[in-house]
Amino acid sequence: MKLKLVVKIAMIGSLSTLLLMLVVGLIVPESVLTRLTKSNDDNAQVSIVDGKEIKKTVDPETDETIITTTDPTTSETTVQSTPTQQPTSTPGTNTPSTPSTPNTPTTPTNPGTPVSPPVVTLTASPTTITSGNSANLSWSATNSPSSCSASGSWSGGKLASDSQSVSPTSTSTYTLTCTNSGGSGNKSVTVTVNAPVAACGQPGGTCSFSDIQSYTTAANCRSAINATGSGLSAYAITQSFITAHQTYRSITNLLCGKVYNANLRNQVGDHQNSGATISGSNYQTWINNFYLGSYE
Amino acid sequence: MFFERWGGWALIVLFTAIPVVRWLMLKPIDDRFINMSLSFKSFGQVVGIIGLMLYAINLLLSIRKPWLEDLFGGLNRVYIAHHITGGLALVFILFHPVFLALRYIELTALVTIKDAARSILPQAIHFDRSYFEIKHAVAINNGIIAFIGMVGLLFVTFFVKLPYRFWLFTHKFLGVAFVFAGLHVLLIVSDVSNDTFLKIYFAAWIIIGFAAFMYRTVLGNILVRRIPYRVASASTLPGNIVQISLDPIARPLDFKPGQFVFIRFINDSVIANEAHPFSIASVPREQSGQLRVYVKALGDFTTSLKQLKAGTTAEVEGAFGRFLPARFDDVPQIWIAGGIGITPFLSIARNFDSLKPKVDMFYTAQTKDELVDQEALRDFLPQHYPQFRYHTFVNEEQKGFLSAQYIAEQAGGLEGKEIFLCGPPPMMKSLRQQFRAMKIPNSKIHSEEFSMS
Repeated sequence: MKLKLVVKIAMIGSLSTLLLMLVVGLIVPESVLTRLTKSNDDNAQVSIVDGKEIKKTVDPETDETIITTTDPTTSETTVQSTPTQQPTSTPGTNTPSTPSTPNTPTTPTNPGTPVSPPVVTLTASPTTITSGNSANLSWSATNSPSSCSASGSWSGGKLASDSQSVSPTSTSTYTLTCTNSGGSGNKSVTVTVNAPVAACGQPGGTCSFSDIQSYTTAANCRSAINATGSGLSAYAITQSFITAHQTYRSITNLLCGKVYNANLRNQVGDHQNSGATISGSNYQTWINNFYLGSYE
Repeated sequence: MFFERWGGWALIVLFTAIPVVRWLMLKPIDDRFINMSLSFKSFGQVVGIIGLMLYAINLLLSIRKPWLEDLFGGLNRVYIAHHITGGLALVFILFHPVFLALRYIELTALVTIKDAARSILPQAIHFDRSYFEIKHAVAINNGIIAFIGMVGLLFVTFFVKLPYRFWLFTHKFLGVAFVFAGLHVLLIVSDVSNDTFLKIYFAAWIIIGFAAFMYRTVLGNILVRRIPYRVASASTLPGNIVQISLDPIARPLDFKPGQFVFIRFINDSVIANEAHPFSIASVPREQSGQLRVYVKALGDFTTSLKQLKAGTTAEVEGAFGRFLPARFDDVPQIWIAGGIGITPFLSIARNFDSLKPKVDMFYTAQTKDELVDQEALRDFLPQHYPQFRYHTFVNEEQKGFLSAQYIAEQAGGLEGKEIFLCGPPPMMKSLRQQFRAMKIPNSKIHSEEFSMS
């Protein structure tokens, strides 16, 4: 009698869980699921300039860029907002009116002190994309630049520390020049664009993947491949003979110091190789570990 | 004594624990539970391992072999173990896909629930892909077929009251579901396929489970030894009792007093051609080798036996049971028979010259008419063997039921005595509880509980 009760509870518990997963997973649209878990801070970009924390967020309702500057020494916080694209207003919404700010924060310099010209760091990720996909440019400049401007394949004034997504259709070079009273500094980065074979998600098409990361622990070279493919709802991490539809794979005992290629496959069979460098001390072979990391 | 009652269970635990321990030894435990996703995956694997082992053992327990009776203390206890392992296998296997699917879900990204949903759906097999990818998809699909089959069939066993013959028919397909489960385990890339020991261990148990299924279910008519008999007579006695005598066609059955057999009547009438258990009322040394059984007409099958005709062929499988007072012939005993539960005692009593202990026999029935075949018990035995005392208890006359207290009073106490109990299940359950309340150890109470009316 007790066994019957246990079986009954197990049956109800497990089958209803499976049913719930199937119903929610197959019926509820991806956009709804994404919205349910997406917080407003997801797009927040935080940078430190002259010891001040500058947090840049986009208001999803007004589409305005909100820049919050916090000085940790005085705990003083200033909030500025500026429209990022076309300004929109929502009837009935009480949007605080804030003065528009210049694109470049102006930082006062101390007269009489020798000033070094800005040192600009500009990176693109990834540096190679397929046409139609985007790369992320991120930059920062030291020595309190009074202004930064973009040239080459982009233009306009820029913050001293920021990031921007670009979608070039051909190979493009992006240059950022920052200036202060001591002079100016610049940096260029090139994003190589490959011609598309087919659109991502279509048979034979390629997709780009980013965020293939590795992490290590002191004793063990352990890696997690956490791939987020753009335009894909689900894909597999494969290695020649393995297919498993999952977006996260923890892999242990990798060959440290070696670059690994993960074949990422979406539901219709698209491929893209991406590399991840593993560092650490304890290792075995890649095949063995990928093998271990992919079973049911 | 302990091994006879619990030896089988100890082996079930051992055989199930071996692959779990091996699995734990394959990797550091913190690597298996490093995050939520891997923890779910590890839980999924371990419940899968336990579930498949119990499933294989469950099939093995259905083969009705004497050595299983030795391990569990009787066929009734073997079938109790069969029932429990089946139920537990279902519970563990139910959670195997649940845990494996849950590993995909990240609470910070609910969209991952789509990955979880896809993982429990059948996989499309693309023949232009690599051998390993095709094998993986086939393995997943086998697992899904096994899961649906097992859940559906055991749902019928546990929750639907089907007539015995329909239930038996559906139950046989559990072996088919096991074949798919076995293929799933052997084909899927896993710790099992990755480790030679686990691979061999599971392959061996899958073969054992499959062989048991083939032996009992598919090839039972060829491989299981059944002895041919012919019905000599079938008559209906008072109390809705049918007495059946069978003559051997070839060499008679070898059995001990107190055992039971499975009999299948080969006929074209309304009596189902299915094997049912019957306690033997005759003695092994009967000249003609005749086998005699009593049946209480309770269910569809037993009621249909009233129409059994002389000359009908029967197949007898057995003998089974560890309801053997002769094993304790130097210890005072108490025999308790309720209604048709007198049958094994008739065989035991008729063989009494081989039994030397002091015996108090209690025979209870609803009415006086239902007390069958009393001559030997009431007249012959007490006269020739003063150590045999016979008591009857008719519920209708006594205005109540036979109780442990009454038995203790009549028998001059229960201490140190072996108690043998056979009768309707509610009566046996009630008396066992009363004896237990009187501090009689379970090991001293022997019962025959096989019934499939």
